[in-house]
Amino acid sequence: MLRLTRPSYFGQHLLAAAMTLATVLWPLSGAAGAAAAAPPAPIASGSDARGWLQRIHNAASQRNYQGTLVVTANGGVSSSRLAHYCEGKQYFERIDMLDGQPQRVYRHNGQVLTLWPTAKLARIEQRDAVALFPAVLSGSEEQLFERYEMLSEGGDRIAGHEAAVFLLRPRDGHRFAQRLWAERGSGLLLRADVVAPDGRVLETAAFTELTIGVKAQPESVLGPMRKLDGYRVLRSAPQRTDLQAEGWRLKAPVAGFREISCVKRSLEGAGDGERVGSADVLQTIFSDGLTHVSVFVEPFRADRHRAGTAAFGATHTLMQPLGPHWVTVMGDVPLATLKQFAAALERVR
Amino acid sequence: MNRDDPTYQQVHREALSALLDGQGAETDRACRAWRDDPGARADWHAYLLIGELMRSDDVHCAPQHDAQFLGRLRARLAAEPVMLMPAPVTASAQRSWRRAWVAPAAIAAGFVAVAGVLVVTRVAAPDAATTDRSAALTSPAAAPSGTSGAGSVEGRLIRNAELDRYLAAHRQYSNTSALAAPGGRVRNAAAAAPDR
Repeated sequence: MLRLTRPSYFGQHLLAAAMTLATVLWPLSGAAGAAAAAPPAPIASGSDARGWLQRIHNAASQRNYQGTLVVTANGGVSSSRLAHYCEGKQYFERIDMLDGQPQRVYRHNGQVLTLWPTAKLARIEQRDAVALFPAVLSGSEEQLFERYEMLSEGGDRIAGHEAAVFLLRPRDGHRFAQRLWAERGSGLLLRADVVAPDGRVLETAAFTELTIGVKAQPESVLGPMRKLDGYRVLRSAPQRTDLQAEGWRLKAPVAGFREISCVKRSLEGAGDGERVGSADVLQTIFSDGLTHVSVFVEPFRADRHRAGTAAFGATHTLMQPLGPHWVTVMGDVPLATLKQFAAALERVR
Repeated sequence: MNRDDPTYQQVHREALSALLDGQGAETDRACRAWRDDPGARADWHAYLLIGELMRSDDVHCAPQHDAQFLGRLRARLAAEPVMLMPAPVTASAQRSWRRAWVAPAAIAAGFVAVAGVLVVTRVAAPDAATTDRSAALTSPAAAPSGTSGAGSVEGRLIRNAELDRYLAAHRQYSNTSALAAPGGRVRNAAAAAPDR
């Protein structure tokens, strides 16, 4: 999405529109005002907070569940059917995007298959181990509590389930807050909001319908992964490396973020089919335990690269040149944090 | 002109009344009066209340409401982040300029649409009570695009295939969060939608 700096030339229209809108929309704005004034929340005790995070984390991978998930960002809405099964140490997952062009994603452990049935296009990816096994939790949890405090905000009810509500509030201005609704029995996350410092909700992901404890049906995932007749199949696998080895470094660390992975990859958009490029993009992932920032470095291409910034939901992006290179920094953090990453990046050799 | 001057009062009242009746000729004057003069705002509210009471059984909002609403709208607009600043134009950048145009134009169109709907329904209201109800139904739907400043246009409009490549690669790491939330994986899938 695009926004303008201070759309001042809309001023006249806006004033007129606002005057008229105000008279018709007052119930809406009144409700928003009331919601903003929440009572102060007690701080969840340390062990309690950790326990809940652990449960939320475990439930997401180890429970069997299926439901409808709705993601809202900037007035755009997308919904999807999600099924997740766990059998022993094996994970199976199926996601059907319900809006726009049909798209299905099947995952069996590290292998991810994305299907676009209309375009008869399939993409098979072997995910990076870090993306796959978030077992780094022990470390990232410590890191998380250094940067966020967890406040208990009582209870709520989401998609028919009783939920405990928590706010992970950042201790500095380099990141956004997240409000979490966890199912009281299993700990499964029912809803998550990314909240800006001024209290605006930037993005919401919530189940509107959910069954926990369904029977595992791994074949419903494995079956379609075997049947690719008639599909054009693209394959990709990122190569692991590290920032130093590639001749780059951050001359100043960005508060609370540490490098957790670095890969060389091609950024094949599904849009360009056979035009799968060479693995010429370096992607370094920095995490603060809750959210992550990707720093992409690649050779500059005049036909493709435009300097600027962008925001979609909570995800901000900064694009700018660095000598003969092109840097793209992306993450669910304020733009200022991305600028710090871009400013700290330097060529070592 | 002095605000206590009866002529001034008369002029702004007529302008406000004309605006309320959907006759836009005096819009600038009416808006200025509304902005600068608490008395004009009180009049405006009184006119609205009279109009609403004539058509409806519901009694309406507090007199300060319009000004508070506008204040909040302004604060939200001021807080909106800067978006996609176009790079300096080069010969090859012509295409991207066209793209950069799309959203502002669409946003402008959104405002026009909102204003248009309301003007039409306001004009029609005195004739048929049912039209007024339809105005109330139409407006909340249009509200998000108006109140959030720019950019709440339908998500897909602004999606940029070039950016989606990065987004898809970025979101593959959503699992690295201590939460590993289901939402992260869905967002990842959503980011990778092909553009054909």
